[in-house]
Amino acid sequence: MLSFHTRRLLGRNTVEGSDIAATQPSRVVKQNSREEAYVKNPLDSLSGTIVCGFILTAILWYLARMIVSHAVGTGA
Amino acid sequence: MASTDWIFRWFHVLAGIMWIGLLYYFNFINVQAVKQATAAGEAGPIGKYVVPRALLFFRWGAVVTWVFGAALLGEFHGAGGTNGFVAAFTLQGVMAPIGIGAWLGTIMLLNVWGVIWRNQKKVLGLVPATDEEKNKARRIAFLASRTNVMLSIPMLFFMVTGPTSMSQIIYH
Repeated sequence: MLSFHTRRLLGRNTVEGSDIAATQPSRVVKQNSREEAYVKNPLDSLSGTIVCGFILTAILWYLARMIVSHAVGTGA
Repeated sequence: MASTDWIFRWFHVLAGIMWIGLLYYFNFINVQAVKQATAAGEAGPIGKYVVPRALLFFRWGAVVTWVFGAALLGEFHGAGGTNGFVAAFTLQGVMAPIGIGAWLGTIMLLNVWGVIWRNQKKVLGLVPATDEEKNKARRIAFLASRTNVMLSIPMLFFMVTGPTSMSQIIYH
């Protein structure tokens, strides 16, 4: 028995045209023998994309700060 | 820095606005507009008249942005008098932040020409493709475009906080 969410996603994927590109799930995860759940790609939504961008910024800022601090410390 | 620095910076910003502006147009406006137009059976003119023209300025804007950015980096000097372009791309010392931005911009440029444009040619019918191939190409181009939106956020952060007086506050 598929969950309401899964059935809704499957239903949307039958729409023809460019709608498929924006709604196609990234992969299917076998949750148990009776139900499958879709793991959505965060890039499928604009909000997910933006959140990922800010998280990546924080990670890269930390990396850059480490490099600059090391360079200043060693006088490079 | 040389006297040509301001010219490179000016054209780098002009072309960058063209490139990233069109990237945001595709992702924030066009995707949703095409979806609604397809549902109404009116998507044809967008794909025929708008998207090809926007893609033309989008992909060449990316090239011009990168070229002027690279020229601008060459005006800087890394530790020990290293060329700024080399110092940035090898993440040397205080050039590391702008170097990370330059790497992100380079990845985005390769994404535009190697993934987005290659797949959009199939979607737009500029190269022959079956319906199945077109659907697959549409999905790949969509995700590649979204990846560029994601990368543009840290890229612009490092561009505006790179080798400027602001970097003293942000990276020390």
